[in-house]
Amino acid sequence: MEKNPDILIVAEGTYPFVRGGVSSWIHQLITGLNEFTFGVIFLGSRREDYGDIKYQLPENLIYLKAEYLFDEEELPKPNPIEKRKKLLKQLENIHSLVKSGRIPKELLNVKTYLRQITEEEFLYGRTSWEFITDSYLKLARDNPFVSYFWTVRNIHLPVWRVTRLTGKIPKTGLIHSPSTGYAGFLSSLLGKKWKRPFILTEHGIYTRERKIDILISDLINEERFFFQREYGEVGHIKELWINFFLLLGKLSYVAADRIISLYEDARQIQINLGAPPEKTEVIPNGIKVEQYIEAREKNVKAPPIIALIGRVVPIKDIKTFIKAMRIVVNKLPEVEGWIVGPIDEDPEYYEECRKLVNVLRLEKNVKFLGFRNVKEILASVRLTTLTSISEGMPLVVLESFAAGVPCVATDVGACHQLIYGGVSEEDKKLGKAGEVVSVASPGETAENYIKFLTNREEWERARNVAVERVEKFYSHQQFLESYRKLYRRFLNWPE
Amino acid sequence: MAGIAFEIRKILKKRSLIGLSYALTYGISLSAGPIIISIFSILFSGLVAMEFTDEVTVRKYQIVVTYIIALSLIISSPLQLILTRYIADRYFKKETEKILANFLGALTLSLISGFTVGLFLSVATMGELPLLFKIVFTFTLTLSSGFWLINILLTAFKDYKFILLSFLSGFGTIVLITPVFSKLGIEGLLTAFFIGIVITFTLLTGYLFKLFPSRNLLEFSFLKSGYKILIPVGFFYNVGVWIDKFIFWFSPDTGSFVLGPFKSSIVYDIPMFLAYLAITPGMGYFFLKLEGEFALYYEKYYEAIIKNETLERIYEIGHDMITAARSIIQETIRAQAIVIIVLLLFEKAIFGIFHISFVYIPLFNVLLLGTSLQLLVMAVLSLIYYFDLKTEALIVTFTAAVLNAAFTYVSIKLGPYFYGYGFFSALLISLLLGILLLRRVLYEIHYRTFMLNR
Repeated sequence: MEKNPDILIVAEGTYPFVRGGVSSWIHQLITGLNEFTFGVIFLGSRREDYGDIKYQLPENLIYLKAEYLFDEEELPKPNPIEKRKKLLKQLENIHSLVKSGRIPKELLNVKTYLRQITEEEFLYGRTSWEFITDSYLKLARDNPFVSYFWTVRNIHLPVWRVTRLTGKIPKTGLIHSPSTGYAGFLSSLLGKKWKRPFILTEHGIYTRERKIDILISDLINEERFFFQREYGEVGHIKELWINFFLLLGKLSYVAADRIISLYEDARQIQINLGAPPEKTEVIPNGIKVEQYIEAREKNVKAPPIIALIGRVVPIKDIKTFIKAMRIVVNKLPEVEGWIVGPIDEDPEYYEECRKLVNVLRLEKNVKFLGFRNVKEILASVRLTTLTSISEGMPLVVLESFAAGVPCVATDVGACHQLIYGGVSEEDKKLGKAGEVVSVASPGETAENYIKFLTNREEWERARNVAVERVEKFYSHQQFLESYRKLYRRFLNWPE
Repeated sequence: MAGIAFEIRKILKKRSLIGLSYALTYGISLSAGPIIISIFSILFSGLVAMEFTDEVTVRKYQIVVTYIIALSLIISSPLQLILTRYIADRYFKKETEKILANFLGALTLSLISGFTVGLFLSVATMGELPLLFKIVFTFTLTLSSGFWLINILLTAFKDYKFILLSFLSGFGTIVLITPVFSKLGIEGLLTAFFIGIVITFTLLTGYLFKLFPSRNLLEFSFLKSGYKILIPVGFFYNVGVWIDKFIFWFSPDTGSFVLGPFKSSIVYDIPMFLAYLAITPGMGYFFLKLEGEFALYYEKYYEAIIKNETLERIYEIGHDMITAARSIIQETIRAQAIVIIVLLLFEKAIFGIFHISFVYIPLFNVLLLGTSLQLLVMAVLSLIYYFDLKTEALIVTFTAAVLNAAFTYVSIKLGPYFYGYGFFSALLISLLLGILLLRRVLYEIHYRTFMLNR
């Protein structure tokens, strides 16, 4: 490396070792903006969890380093450390501030972790023991203590690993993290340490995703005592984890100079979670529209087929789609519903869906196609749909629009904004590129399918809006342009 | 993105039990076993030989046996604790295939050291003694150096019946063959002793082969275990036990030549031997209590932690454990005090019955207090081992060794009225130090258990 990179991207569990939405986003950004040089820090769990590099690394990626937060690592040698009253006060202070929703400044300062509250102090200090037991007795005295103790340790330990990383990374002009979490925390520390700007782009809402992970996880070892807890009450130990990720999220929001989301609703959620509104901004993902023109030309004469492009998993609520299809077929027996996406991720759920198809006698109309080339599918269908109960900013909707296929989707994530417009007033004026329906409403959903399949005029109008919207507001060029401007501004380069 | 979250869930399960392993009762065997065996061997060898030969030869023979015991204990001492601890860990972690190979590794080192020392002493100091004596001495010393290692292991595994059987066979053989061998004089007696130990040693080692079969026969991984600090602990402990005797033997004021380079101290040896005899009941009482009562509280405490109880419950059980530790020391003091009082009251009668000169009584009284203190030091050390406090163990054993050497030397310089007070005061200080250190740890046992375990 002759020169330090202009921009450092901190990728948590994604680029370049794991394929997926965020990884391709990073890859597109680096390839598309080749006037900048990039460095990538990959933050993984353990070395053995990842395979080889999955992407052809661009030439302007001049620094790449992988770090693993949960690799077995020798802890420092256990040595008793005398109690320090001042430190105890500081710990109490920090925790009570955090509990009241504020972010103590010292949490963003590397020196706090390297000089004041050191890893040794946390692991072996009498002060830290006193603080942990006091907190336990105050807040969690009915919980199994060993679980509590190790939860506290496991939650905090990566903090020092992340802190130590700050000393190993070459200084860059700007830090960009595609998530909060540990990546956001590292970026925050680097930003303060180097006095360089930190840009945060959130694809999902990290905090919410971790919260769901934690709530559904049985593995978070909560041996409960008999009669200890009411049904539905979240145990204290799970709460510790959730609060920790909330804190990491807030830290990133406080430290970031710019907080970017993919769509307006996501921006609102960020603000609710503590992001200062004046720092927030929406930069949607883009798509290379010209690659879909061929499909667009072919599907003008497509038979009445509705495609649901997505994995067969509960969160996509495939069953609602199947039920809606029953209603559609009652009226229009020739209509087909294609479910396009891998079926092996949740075999049990797939089995249930197949049984539902049988029970509803839809074997001829509803087909599971497995994983297919999206462009080919879009070339032969009339409508696309999403019946998901949760989405971020679904790429298939943009792809569908680029291919001129209207979409009927549930009112989740960015769907409303994509279908009805919401980037700007101009966008809203374009009109509807399909229809938004309530979650888990087969009747309403079927009604709208029928509308687009029977009313040619309505379908064409939506098709035109779809194409115009994606070209105007969601093109790859625009996406790159927005980040180019942002980067230049924060790097103090002439516009 | 999910990678890290999944990982968090995994480590939660895994980490929660790391670092909480029992520090097994490895210290007990170190202290009690050798003392009892030594006393028994010296007494026994003398009594048997007495029947067949003259008193002078018996005395010489007993003194040579004493030297062999002392030297072999010190030679094998660096390996005693570290090996026992290593094997206790393997046993606890169910890696029993490692046990035999590492035992044989330690045994090899010990035998080589014993042989080297024996050879050196024979060549360098025993010029005028017959070759046969040198050979028997060297081999007995070599074998004894290995003997302590096997003995320690078996006491740790608590297979008392077989141990008893092995000792009965070995020492029974000595009884049977001594009439014949005594005709060869001291060399013959020593050879009989050697054959006896060979039998006991072979039986015990064979039992180990049977108990923990292994493909590997030689390993030294116990030296790489994290317990290197136990090497000096074992060494200083044994030096501490023997250094005052050596000083009395080799001081020109108190020692006299018996045979070749071997010196003894008539003023010191006999009362000291009797004083050790007087602590055997107290020792038995202590270890019975330790194994029978304290161990239960100790296990309950760690069980509470492993079973993931609440902190308040852990505090309660911890409190019970500390109380048990305190009371076991107090009760040992009480039991030994009774022994002391009874002896003080009846010592003249007892000495009379056994035809022991009353001249020894004043020194015996001091040494009785000294060995009683040594019993208490052993008791405190056992608790220290229970809590795996290696540094504290080193401090206590090192202090005992250094003070015993220094004070004993001073006591000899001060004259006969002060004999025994060096030993006594060295152990008194070591005991107080041990209690202080143990108290400090028990006071914050929870902090140490949770925060300082890996």
